[in-house]
Amino acid sequence: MFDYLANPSRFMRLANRVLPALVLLAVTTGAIGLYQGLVTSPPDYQQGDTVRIIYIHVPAAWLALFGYVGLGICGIFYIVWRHPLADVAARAIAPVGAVFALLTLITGSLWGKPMWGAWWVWDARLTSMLILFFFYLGYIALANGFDRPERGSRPAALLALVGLINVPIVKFSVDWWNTLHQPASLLRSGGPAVDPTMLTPLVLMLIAAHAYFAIIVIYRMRALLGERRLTALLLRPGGQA
Amino acid sequence: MADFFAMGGFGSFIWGSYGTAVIMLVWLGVSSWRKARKVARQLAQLETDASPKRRPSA
Repeated sequence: MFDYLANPSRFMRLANRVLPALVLLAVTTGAIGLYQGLVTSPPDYQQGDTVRIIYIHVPAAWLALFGYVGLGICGIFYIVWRHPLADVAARAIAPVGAVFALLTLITGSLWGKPMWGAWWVWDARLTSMLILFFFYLGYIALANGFDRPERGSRPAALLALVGLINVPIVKFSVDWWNTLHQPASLLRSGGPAVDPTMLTPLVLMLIAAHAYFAIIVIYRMRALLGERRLTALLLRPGGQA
Repeated sequence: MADFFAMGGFGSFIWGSYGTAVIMLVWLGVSSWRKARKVARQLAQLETDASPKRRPSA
C-alpha cells in the first residue's frame, strides 16, 4: 500500500478526491462545535466561562502533537527509504503544526492568566510544549536553509526524529511531574472525565481541527509538488531558465 | 446578549482566544490555498507554452 501511495501524482489524486469530504466535515463539525462550545455548553463549576477556551486549546494541542508525530514518521520514511513524498509531506506539515503549537501556547496563556494568575509558568507541560514549537521552527529553518532545498531534507528529517523524544514528554508531563496544568481529561485510563454537555463540543472541535489540518496539508503538498515540477520543467534542456 | 459577550467577566480572555484562533487559522488556510493556486497557474502556463514541441512520454 505504501508503494502504491508513494507515487506523488497518485497520492495527490486520492487526496483531491477526499478534499471535498474533508471540507464538508470541517465546516459542519466546526460550526456545531463552536455553537455548542460558546452557547449551549455550561460554564465549569470551578473555572466559570473560561473553560470554553478548552474547545480551542485542546484541539490545537492535539494537532500540534499529532502533526509532530507525522513529521517524525515522514522523517523515518525519508531517511530509511528516501521517499521524496515523505519529504514533501513533512515540509507541508511543519508550518501547520507550528501554527497549532503557537495557538496552543497563546490560548493556554489566556487561560492561565485568569485561572492561575500567571500568563506563563516554567512547568513541565508548558516548557515541553514550547520546546515542541521550537522543534517545528528548527525543522522549518533547516529544511529551507540551503540554496538547493533538497539538501536540507536529510538534516531536517534527522531533527524531526530527534524531536520525537519530546512528544511523550509533552503528553505525560502532567503525570510525571507536579504541575499547575490539569491532567488529561480525555485520553486517560477509565475513559473521558468530562460531562457530555462539554464532551460533545470538544469532540466536534477535535474532528474539525483534524479535518482542517488535513485540508491545509493537502494544499501545501500540492503547492510543493507543483513547485518541484516547475523547477524540473525550467531546468530541462529547452526550458526557459 | 451582553451577558453572552461578557462571559462571566472573562470575556477578554475567551474572545481573545477565539479571535486569535480564527485569525491564525484563516490566515494559514488562505495563504496555503493561494500558494497552491499560484503554482498551479504557473505550471499550466508553462505546460501550454512548452507542449507543442516536446512532451516526451517519460
